[in-house]
Amino acid sequence: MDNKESTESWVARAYNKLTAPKTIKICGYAAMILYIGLLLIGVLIAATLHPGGYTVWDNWISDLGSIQDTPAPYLYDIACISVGILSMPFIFYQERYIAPIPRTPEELPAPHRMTYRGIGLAFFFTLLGNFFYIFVGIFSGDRNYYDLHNIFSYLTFGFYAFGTLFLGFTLMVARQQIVPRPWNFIIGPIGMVAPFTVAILNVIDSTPLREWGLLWAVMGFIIPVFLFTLRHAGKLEHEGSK
Amino acid sequence: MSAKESWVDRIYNKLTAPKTIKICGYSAMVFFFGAIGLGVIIAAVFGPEGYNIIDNWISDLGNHNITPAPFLLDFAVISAGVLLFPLLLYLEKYLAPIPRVPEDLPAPPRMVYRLMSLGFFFNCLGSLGMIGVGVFSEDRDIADLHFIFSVLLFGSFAIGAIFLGLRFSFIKQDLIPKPYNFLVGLYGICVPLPVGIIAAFNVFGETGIAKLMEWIIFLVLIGLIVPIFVSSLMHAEKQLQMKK
Repeated sequence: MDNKESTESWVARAYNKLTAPKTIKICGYAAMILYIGLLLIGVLIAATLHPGGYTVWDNWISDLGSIQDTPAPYLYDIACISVGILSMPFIFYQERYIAPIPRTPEELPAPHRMTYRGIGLAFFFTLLGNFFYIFVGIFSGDRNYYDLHNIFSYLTFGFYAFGTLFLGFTLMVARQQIVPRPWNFIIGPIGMVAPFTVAILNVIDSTPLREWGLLWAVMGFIIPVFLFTLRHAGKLEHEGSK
Repeated sequence: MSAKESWVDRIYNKLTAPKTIKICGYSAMVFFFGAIGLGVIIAAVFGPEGYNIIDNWISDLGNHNITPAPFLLDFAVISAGVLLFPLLLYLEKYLAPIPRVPEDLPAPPRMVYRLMSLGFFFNCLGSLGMIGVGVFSEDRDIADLHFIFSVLLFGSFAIGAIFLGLRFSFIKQDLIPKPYNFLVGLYGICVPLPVGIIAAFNVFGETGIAKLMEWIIFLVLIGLIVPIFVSSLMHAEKQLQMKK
């Protein structure tokens, strides 16, 4: 084992560390607690402590990062930056276990080509969505230089909409163990249809509630997939410790 | 073995057979360049106002007010769009092979599958755009669909070129021999998308060189697709000879 590790390149070692079940568990719980916690606290503080109040039908999500609309704008910034970073190992992990590449004869047969296509596209779009979400936090409402906040918001939601479309599709067609049957047939179609439909509604005419709707649609798919991935990582960790 | 295959696998194997690639490849090149070349000559010579690449859009070749033979462009893009699909499947099959039996091992690195899934996807969208441009030509431009499919065509091929370029340049393959793979790959990475962006600024900004820029991005894409096409045909030819 030590010999094997010493022959691996640093890229392979970093990849293995990044997709280790322990990393996934740490990143997963941290991402969920930080994001959902900070988002809820941010909305509560803005709604109760700001003189103008805050509602999801009158205020954009980005208002949570503006000192003009909330006394604690940094909460949303931290939420975006942390979830953008902490979600990245997840898509690597999902890609690794949904579309494994056989390296030894024992690992054959390989999955269907459609699995590789679907997860390749999901990986690309979700990873870029995560990457741009970091910049939504960095260039928040208070630091919206050259309209960068809006540009990164469009990129984030656009890439997430495509990412969920392909991940939902792959969960349905692939023989995978992360989201077991029959859950994959419930979660998959949600990922394929809901975020993309709400994204199109936002392109046609964007309102604060529709923007919130898009976030809820993405979360409605991502959170169950996140939980199933954590369950899968927990199982792997348990098997590894035996 | 073949009796166990599903009908989808049987169609896939037929579509990606070297013989199919040869037939589709040569047909696509003859139909596309023949019909486009003939279309430009007919429009320039017999069109009521003449035709040149500075004052006319490519799409004008499909407009009966500008050329007496608008069907030539429609035929060229629809046929090339359809015939490109087997070639894209073939490229994907040989550039990102999936091991099925122990003899197929070792499998390529993960990055190969990522790049080829993206390259395949965007180029398929480009082919779909070609078919759409032909079906909804200027004479049948319903709900601005001609323009939408044109943007899909150029945008998808330009983005797809980056992923194919990365695949050809940096990861071992036997479709385009060294050192041509670096030339083709770097061209795919560096040229089509920047030129496409410049063309888009001109087209959406309605500048004086917008029509010329459309022709330039068209020629830039041809400059990438033709070498890949020819290399694939040579590869398919080799496969056929090896079978013999």
